[in-house]
Parts: sequence; C-alpha cells; structure tokens
Amino acid sequence: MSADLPTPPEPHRLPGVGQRLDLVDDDGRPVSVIRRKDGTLELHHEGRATFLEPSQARALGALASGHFRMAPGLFQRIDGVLGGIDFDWVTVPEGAWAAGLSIADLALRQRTGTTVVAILRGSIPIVVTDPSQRIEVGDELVFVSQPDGRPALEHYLARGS
Amino acid sequence: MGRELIVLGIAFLLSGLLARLGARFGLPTIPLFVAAGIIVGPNTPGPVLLEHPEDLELLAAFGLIFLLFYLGVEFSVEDLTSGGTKLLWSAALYLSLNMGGGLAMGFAFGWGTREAFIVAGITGISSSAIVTKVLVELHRLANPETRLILGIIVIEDLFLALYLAALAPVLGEADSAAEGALLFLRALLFLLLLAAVARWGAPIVEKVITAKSDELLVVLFVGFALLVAGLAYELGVSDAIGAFMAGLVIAGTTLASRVERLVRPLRDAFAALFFFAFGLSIDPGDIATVLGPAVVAILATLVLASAAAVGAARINHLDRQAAANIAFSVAARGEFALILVTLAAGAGLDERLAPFAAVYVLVLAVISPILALRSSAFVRFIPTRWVPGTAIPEPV
Repeated sequence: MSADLPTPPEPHRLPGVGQRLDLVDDDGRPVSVIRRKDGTLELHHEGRATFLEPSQARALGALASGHFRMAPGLFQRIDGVLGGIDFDWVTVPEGAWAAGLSIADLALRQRTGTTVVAILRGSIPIVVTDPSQRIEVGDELVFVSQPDGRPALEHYLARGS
Repeated sequence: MGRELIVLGIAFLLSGLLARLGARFGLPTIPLFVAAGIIVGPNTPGPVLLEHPEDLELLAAFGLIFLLFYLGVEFSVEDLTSGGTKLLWSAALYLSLNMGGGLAMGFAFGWGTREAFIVAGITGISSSAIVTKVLVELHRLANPETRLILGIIVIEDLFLALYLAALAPVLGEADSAAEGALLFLRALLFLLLLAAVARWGAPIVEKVITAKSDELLVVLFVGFALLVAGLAYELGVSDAIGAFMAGLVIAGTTLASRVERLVRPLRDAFAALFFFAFGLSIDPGDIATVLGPAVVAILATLVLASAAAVGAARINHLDRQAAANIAFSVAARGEFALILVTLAAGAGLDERLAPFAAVYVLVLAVISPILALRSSAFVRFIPTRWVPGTAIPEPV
C-alpha cells in the first residue's frame, strides 16, 4: 500500500460538517484530516484524534504549504495575515468573455473585489506588476480576495457582469 | 409590547440556560428547548410564561423556515452522487423500513389515515442536527461509516421535502379524493417550478438578492426566503417546503457559502424559539393517553434503525462496529418530527399527535446519543454471518 503512493489526495465534502482529506503516512497507515466548518482541524491517526483551533490550524497550513516566508512573528500575526484572506486561483475557461482583455480593462479589483497577483501560463509564472497584462484562455489566475471571492471572479470572467 | 418582549427574553434565556446545563451531560439542545417550553407552559404547575402559545406562532414559524432554508442552501448534488448506488440503496433501505414501519404503526394506533401518514414521517426521518452533533462530539468524523451516515442524512432531508409535497392533501384538509389529487398536483407543480428556478433561474435570483455587504445580503435573502415560504403556504404546500426550495435556489448561486454562514445565527435563534413554542403547547396530562403508542414507536424505531444499519453495513462492506455506530446515530429524532407535527396541528389533525411526538422525540433525542456512545457494547448482538465485513486493521 505504501509502495505506490496514490495520486494527490482530493478533499471531499462531509455534508453539514466540513471537508475531509484522507492521507497515508509513510508506513502506509491512514491519516484523516477533517476541517470543520468552524475552522477546527481534526487529525486522526492510529485510532487517536488531535484537535487544532482555527488559528492553530491556519498556522499549520501555512507551514505545511511551504509557500510562506517563515519570518519571525509570522505565527503571532498569521491570523491577521491570513485570517480574512483567500489565496486561490481560477483557470480562464474556453470562450470566456474576459479572454484577450487586460487586467486594467477588466477592472477586476473594482468589479469583483479580487486582486490578481500572478498568471500561470503553461509553466511560466508571470507576476502581475503591469495592469496592461492581457489574459488568455487557459491562463491560471492566482488571486487574493476576501473569503469566498472565487465565485464572483469566475462569474465575471465567464460572463462579464 | 413590553410584556411581549419580556416573555420572549425569558423564553430565549430559559431555553439557552437549560440547554447549556444539558450540554454538560452531553445532551443535545433540541429536547431541552422543548422541555423549557413544557416547564413554563400553561399546562404544568408553577409559573406560566405564556397563557396562549399561539402568540408565538409567527416567530416560531421563522424558526421552521430558517431550519429548512439552511438545509436547502447547504444542499449539494455532489453529496448524493459521490456515495454512488451503495449510498442510494442504503438510504432507500433505511427510509422504506422506517417509513413503512411508521405507516403500519400509524394505522394500528387507529387515529385516522391522515394521521398515519404523519406518524410515518415522524418515525421515518432522522434529526440532521443531532446526528451531526453526535458524530462530531464522539470524534467519529474519520470513521469508515461516517460518510455513509451523513449521506443517508442528506437523502433523508431531500426525501422530507418530497414527502411534504406528497402530504399536501393530508395537510390541506381535502374533503374528497379529487380535491386531494388537486392539492397534490398543485404542490408538485410548485416544487417543479422552484426546481426549474433552481436549475436555470439562479443567475436571475442572484441579481435580485446580491449585495457586497453582508448586512444587505442578510436583508435581501431573508426577504426572499420569507416570500417563497409565504407563497408556498398560500398555495397550500406548507411554508416549510417553500423555505427549503428557496434555499435550494440560493445553493445554485455564487452567494451560497456566504448565505450559509450568515443564516446560521438566525436559524439557531429562531429554531430555539420554535422548539420552545412546541413545548409550550404540550400538556403533560395528555401524555398518559399516548404513552403506549409512543413506547411502541420508540422501540420500533430502535429495532428498524438497527435492521437498516445492519443492511447498510452489509451493502457497504463495513464491519459490525460500524453497523452498531450507524444504528444508534441515525435513530436520533428531532427537528423534522416536530416540524411535521406542527404542520399537522395547523391542519387540525388528531390532537394526540403532538404529545406523541413530544414523548417520542424527547426520548430518542436523549437516548440515541447515549446508545451511540456505548455502541461497542451492542456489537456482540450482531451475528457475524449478517455483517461479514471486517474493519481495516487498526493497531491501537
């Protein structure tokens, strides 16, 4: 079981509760991670359960993702830094209204409340410093927004209203 | 005005304090909200908070509406499809055993045909709120049977909406078969219309109720939920189903997760009042007349829920411990039984239904979490022959 690691695990919904991610430790034993709707994280392993409060869980997530510069004081400030912010990305779909337009044309920040910080085109990351940067079908837009900003951005990119 | 505010304040405080006390002993909130209502109701000795429980009717209806609206908002088709046919079979088995048993008991009690259909609904549908709470508190979210339990609960919720539509003739006081058929057809059309709105009209609804600020979004979605619930009521379909469908429409918009978060406190507050108001209407003196049927129904539910759990464990290749966990988790009854019996009371059905449901819910809401906690003691009563599945070996 441990010899061939499964494809990257996908979280699935636990209706009314939150999300669950099934992982395997390096001995092939199951590790279940549950994020409840209130932000509490549950770690289940070997018949034991550990619970992390939302702020602790976010710190764990930041560390585990490896994408944050572990500056001194990060964990004290992590709620302030990440508490009310979503980092996410969307792919510009086929036939999107927004294809060919620039970040400035789209007025994304005003219209959707999201700020695109980078575009992944193929394997090339383009950090958006220039608002005249045009977006294309298939681009992955990495954005920062308030929680749940994704639907508004998706809708706007596809239909323009 | 001042008097009414005082009454409401005391109602909320009493419900909350009693439920907080109960939480110390691991009791769910719903039976304690009901108990608070019974204690200060006009039918028990001691202080009487409210002489006419009907005065709370409108605010209690808010509770019922937000309970079902929330359910609709939270609904995702993915929850049905991700479990595959095994989940559908398990849920079908659960519902047919428990509804069928309920219908048989309903007829046996001899309260009438319409009442039998209400009894079937009361005994057939688990309490989402209590089941979810039990799974969280017993640290069972990572268990192999948990997805199945939650899947069954979601299907039960959806089934409740359909059943409420099917009950339209029962609740609508139809005098003849033709009139009953007409009421049912109207309910079905209304459901289909709202399902169509949910499927294709979500962007339009979204345009109407969208707002950047949470404050405005709350104002707008509350308006939408109440309007649809009210229209449903006027059409004789019941406000409950209207609220559920309104939620389902919202679930199809990009506002779903925001609305879900914002409606929760409204639901919690008004649902407590709904349960409290139900408690007020209960006369403990009536309980003696329904004690026999209630005890029979409680035992039947425990047996039928266990039978369905054994079947579900078998279908899903789970072990005997999982079967025992499923059995006692899904045996919890709560909000839906009380919603059904409130609707039945509104339609003027047999008055014995309310005390019957009160005893039934109070007992099952309290003992099902206790039995679920001690489920391992029941494993040895399940023959291995029935549930051959073995647990994934877990060194402890």
